[in-house]
Order: sequence, then C-alpha cells, then structure tokens
Amino acid sequence: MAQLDLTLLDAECILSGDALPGRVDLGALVELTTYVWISSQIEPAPPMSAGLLGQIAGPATS
Amino acid sequence: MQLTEARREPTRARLAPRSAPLGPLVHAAQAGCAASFEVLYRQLAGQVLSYLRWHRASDPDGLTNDVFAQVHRNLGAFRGDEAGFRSWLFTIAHHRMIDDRRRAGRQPQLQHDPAVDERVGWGDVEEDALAAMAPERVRDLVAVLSPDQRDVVLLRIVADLSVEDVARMLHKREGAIKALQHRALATLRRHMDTLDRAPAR
Repeated sequence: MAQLDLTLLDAECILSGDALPGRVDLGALVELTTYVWISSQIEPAPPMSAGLLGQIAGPATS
Repeated sequence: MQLTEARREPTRARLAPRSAPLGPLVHAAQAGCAASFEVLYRQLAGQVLSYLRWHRASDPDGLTNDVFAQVHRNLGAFRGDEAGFRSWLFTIAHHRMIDDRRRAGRQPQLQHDPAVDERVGWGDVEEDALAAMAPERVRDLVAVLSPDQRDVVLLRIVADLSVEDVARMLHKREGAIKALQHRALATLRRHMDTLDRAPAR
C-alpha cells in the first residue's frame, strides 16, 4: 500500500483548509476538510427547547 | 510585502463569519443575562449541532440543547478566555456524544445531511470544495475513520480547537494527536483513491 507523503506541517495546512503549493495530489483532501468546515459554519442553530428556554430565564448557577 | 502576507493568512481566518466576541457574552451570561446566553447559543449551537451530526448522534438537536443546558448550569464556575470557552463547550458536547454512543450501543446511524446548500460569500477554494464533494461521499469518508481519528479530525475542524486543546480534552499527548490526525488524513486519502477507482454504480 502506498504511503502518503505528508509531513506534520502539511497535515496542519490540510486541516486548516489551506492548499499546499505544488501538491495537487492533496487537493482532494483540502476540499474534504473545507467541506466539513463549511458545513459546520453554515449549520443553523436548532430551536431552543422549552426546557432550555425555561432554564435560562432563571439565573446561571455554578 | 503586503501581498505575501495576505497569502499567508489562513483561509479560514479570512473567511470565518464575523461574530461578536465570546468573552463579553460569557461574562454577561455569567452575570445572569439571558439575552447574552441566547446570543452565545445562536453563535455556537450550529457548530455543536454539526459536530454531533458528523458523529451521527441519535438526536443531534436534542443533544445540542442538553449541551447548552449543562453549559448554563455550570457557567458560573467557568474561568477562562474565548478559546477556553470553546474548548469547555466542546468538551461537554464530546462527553454527551460519547454518552449517546454508549446508550445506543452501536455505531451511529447514517443521518447527516450537512446544510451546505446555503452557499453565500465563500471564496474559490470553498466553492470548489462544495462543488466537488457530494454529501454522501463526505459522510462515507468520515465514517471510515477510527473513533479516535474521527474525534481528533472533527475537534480540529468543526470545533476549531488547537492540538493542545484536543490533547487536553482527550487526555492524550500532543504528539499522539498529531499522529492521529496524520493517520486520519492518510486513511481518508486512501479511501478517496479507492472510491475514485471503483466503477460507477
């Protein structure tokens, strides 16, 4: 099985969604991590439940 | 040179939606301001929901509410900065997800439907990613990761936590986190190659 030629720094770049110059072979990975990131950024907050709404109407506790 | 500096700016730092700083909101919510807590919820609940969905939690909406209920209950005891709050929030979300997984006693079900059709304001790289990736393909790829690899990758990307934060959260050394994310990317790349070679159904 072919090993992926990837340094730890390359991995950081890919996880950050930054394309690596000259590494066309890693483009699909960058697209994948970018997709996951975008999906989290545009996911709308779900409606607050009645329980949570009732809870926050009172004071925060420690 | 300015252009060079601009190119060095991380893509996500440049494109992340503008939102109110968390610090003042947390402090106000700690003082009992319900409106500030609601803003915190609106800013972060979508990311928590996304994290739970990528993990295929059984009731992501309900769990997200449970996470924020726990955050609210313990908010008075929180001490830390903005990064610390994110880390604390996703630690709670992560533990809820693990509880859910144990309760279900199974690998999570396929149900994620990422909200990626709302394509507004992204740059070229992001538009390329949206165009190139089908939701089912991404879902299947994330599913091939081991639980440890999936935890690390999703905490780094969705929760936007540092290696140090993830290491602390998962009780592992930073080197172990880096190794896990490296292996995760190798696994993903290998499966992408496999999918690309597979005959079309």
